[in-house]
Amino acid sequence: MNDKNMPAATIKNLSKNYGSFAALKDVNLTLPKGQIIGLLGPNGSGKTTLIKILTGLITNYRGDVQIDGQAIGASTKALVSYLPDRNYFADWMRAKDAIYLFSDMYRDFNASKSFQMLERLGLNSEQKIKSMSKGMIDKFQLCLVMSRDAHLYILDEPLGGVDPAARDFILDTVLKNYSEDSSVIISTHLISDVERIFDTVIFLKQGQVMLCDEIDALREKTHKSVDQLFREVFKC
Amino acid sequence: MLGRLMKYEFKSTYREFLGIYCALIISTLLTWMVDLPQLEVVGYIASICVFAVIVAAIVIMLMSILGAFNKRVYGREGYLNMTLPATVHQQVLARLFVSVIWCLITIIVMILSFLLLLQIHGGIFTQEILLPQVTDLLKALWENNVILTIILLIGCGLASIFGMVLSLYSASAVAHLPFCRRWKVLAGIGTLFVFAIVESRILWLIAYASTGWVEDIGQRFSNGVPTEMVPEYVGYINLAIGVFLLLAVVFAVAKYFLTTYLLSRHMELE
Repeated sequence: MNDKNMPAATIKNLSKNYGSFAALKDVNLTLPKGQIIGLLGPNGSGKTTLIKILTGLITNYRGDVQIDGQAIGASTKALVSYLPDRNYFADWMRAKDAIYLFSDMYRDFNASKSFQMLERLGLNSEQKIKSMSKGMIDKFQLCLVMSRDAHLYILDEPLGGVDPAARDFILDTVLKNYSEDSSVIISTHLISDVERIFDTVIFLKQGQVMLCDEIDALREKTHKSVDQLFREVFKC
Repeated sequence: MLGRLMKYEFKSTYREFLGIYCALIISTLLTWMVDLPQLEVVGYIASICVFAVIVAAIVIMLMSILGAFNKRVYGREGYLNMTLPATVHQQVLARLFVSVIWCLITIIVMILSFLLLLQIHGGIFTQEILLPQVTDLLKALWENNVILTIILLIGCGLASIFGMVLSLYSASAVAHLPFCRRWKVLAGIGTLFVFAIVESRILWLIAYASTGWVEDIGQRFSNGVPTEMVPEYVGYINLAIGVFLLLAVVFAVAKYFLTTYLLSRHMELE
């Protein structure tokens, strides 16, 4: 199912509570296809909760969420390439084990592309992942995620805790490796570094959507950069 | 997909279980090395140590099964495993089948260790075993329906192993519910207690309902079982074992659906 007119994801009346705390409140969004979407908000705004719902890591919520017109499940997980904000590999894994696992599990995974990226990073495929530095693990995970030909890439805080050179590498990797039919959601609070690559931005504050608009339209309306707008909307 | 998931589950778990098996075999072989006629007490102490290792192996096996499930579903590895393009049923079944296989291998290794101990201290395999005697034994077992008894007992054992693993999975799934998170361990242990109470109640009810039938049979065979009635007697035993097998399967299936329901509808990876 790859109807070009179908949005990448539709979210209707989505609410999620953690006990008495409302992480998401009646969120309604239509994520367009073929765009890089910035999911922006301060810590605790609900970005990761929204991402976990889209990736199927949270299954108890109210509302309707669909990816490519399908309810969240095994079929949507095959369409989504997800980069979490943490190392998710088992301690026994070497780099090549992770590549072979992705190759086994995902039909759209390009193992040779992944090995090439690994080489460019200066990593040995026999190296144990747990022996890599945090920055190297982050880059390696990104290489795996971007070696898939997915319909939707979801990157949760890909720039957190990495140096500026690594940030450029991450952004360049995203731009070079995603398909134009695909969408990319990048959640971050480091706006100034990523503003240049976004097509659409979504501002999330205390579980609610404050803003969802294309970047060009936003700049035209407000005559401000996204970073400036962010500081205004999320002023403490 | 199920096969691939099982492959990676084996890859993730084999190191722990191989360690258990090595410990079992090495400790058994050590009793052979310290089996000195002039120091029999050392040999017996070594044998007691082997039994202690066997008990430890069972505990470690159960903890490994539970730990593997927790780590790979609810831990950081869950971010990888639970986003794979697999249904909840495939995720649970892959782990379940692999865990049951490890349990069976552990049982086999324990039996081999025990037989090795018997050989070291009793020389049971150096005595002559005549093939005709074995054939006569098998024929007697077959004519008296005892082969079926053995099959049913193996079935019960297998169903119990499935049930035990699924108890651990269900307890983990309950313990990871949002409202149980603060008291995970208590919630998990409590769930196991509830299972034990419910199952024992159901077994008691069935035993109570069949009291009359059991008393009738007891009266019929109160003066011993005549040779010509052995197949009938064994048939009644097979019926009882069959009922327990059915119950074990029902309990296991109930726990399976509880686990998959909680993962499908109440999954919340921290």
